[in-house]
Amino acid sequence: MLKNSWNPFVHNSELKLLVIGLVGFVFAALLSSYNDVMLLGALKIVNTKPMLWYVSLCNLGITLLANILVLYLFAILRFAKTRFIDVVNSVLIAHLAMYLLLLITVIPFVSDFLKSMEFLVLDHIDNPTGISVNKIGLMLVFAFFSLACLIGFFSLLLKGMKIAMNSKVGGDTIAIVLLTLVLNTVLQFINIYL
Amino acid sequence: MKLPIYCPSCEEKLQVAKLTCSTCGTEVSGNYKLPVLMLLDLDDQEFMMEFLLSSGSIKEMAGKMGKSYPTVRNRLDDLILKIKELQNGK
Repeated sequence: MLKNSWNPFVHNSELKLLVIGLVGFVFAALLSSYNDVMLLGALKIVNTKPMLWYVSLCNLGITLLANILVLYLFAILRFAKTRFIDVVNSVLIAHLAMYLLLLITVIPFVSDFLKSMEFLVLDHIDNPTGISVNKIGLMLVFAFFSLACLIGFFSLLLKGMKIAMNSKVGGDTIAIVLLTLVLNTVLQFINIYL
Repeated sequence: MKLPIYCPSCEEKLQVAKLTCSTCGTEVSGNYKLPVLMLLDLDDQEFMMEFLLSSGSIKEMAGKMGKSYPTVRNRLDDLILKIKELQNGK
């Protein structure tokens, strides 16, 4: 069971992975709409103005589609037998880790804390020693949680992509990570979201 | 029982030197090379047999093995590579 949860791409059928990924996608879009936060690119969560559920669905869909298309293009160049569905599943399942971040921002305490921290940091930007130790402690907890989610995201993405393109080369790992980082940074800058 | 394919002493490939009829006991001696498929690991041989019995359907194999389609396809690709290397005598 542990092995199964660690590498879901080995033991589960593509249909099962697709359903789980799509359910996660809809759930995350609804969370995003409910809590006025969104994934700007795959790797950054920002507060936004209130959005209708279908706008959230579109915005998250843009991020997923961009990642799927770019990674599929890369995969097909490296391994001609790569199937589109396997890349789709890799991207959808990897994003489940990022949806965890969206999920914790729904907790009112977390949401209030994160907003207060934004102001606190801005107020004390010239004097960081003015921030209390308790607040710094909580910041560290959220920082580690965010880091764990990011590691989970890349770990799942790499496992899925390497199986999809039958890769045993370390260079592919670096290329996929760099491609994902660059693509999602570009998505933040061009901001094509609704 | 697993058929040994490498010499335990010098690790070179073994060859068939004697064949015996289990009914009349006739023995044939010679120097026969093992077929390429016999040079594969037992696991790989079982995989090949299962693949044949599944009419070469990766999807059916994935269902039987409880693994995903790309996992089975990758194993098959690796096996093809291994067989090509054995054919080329690497």
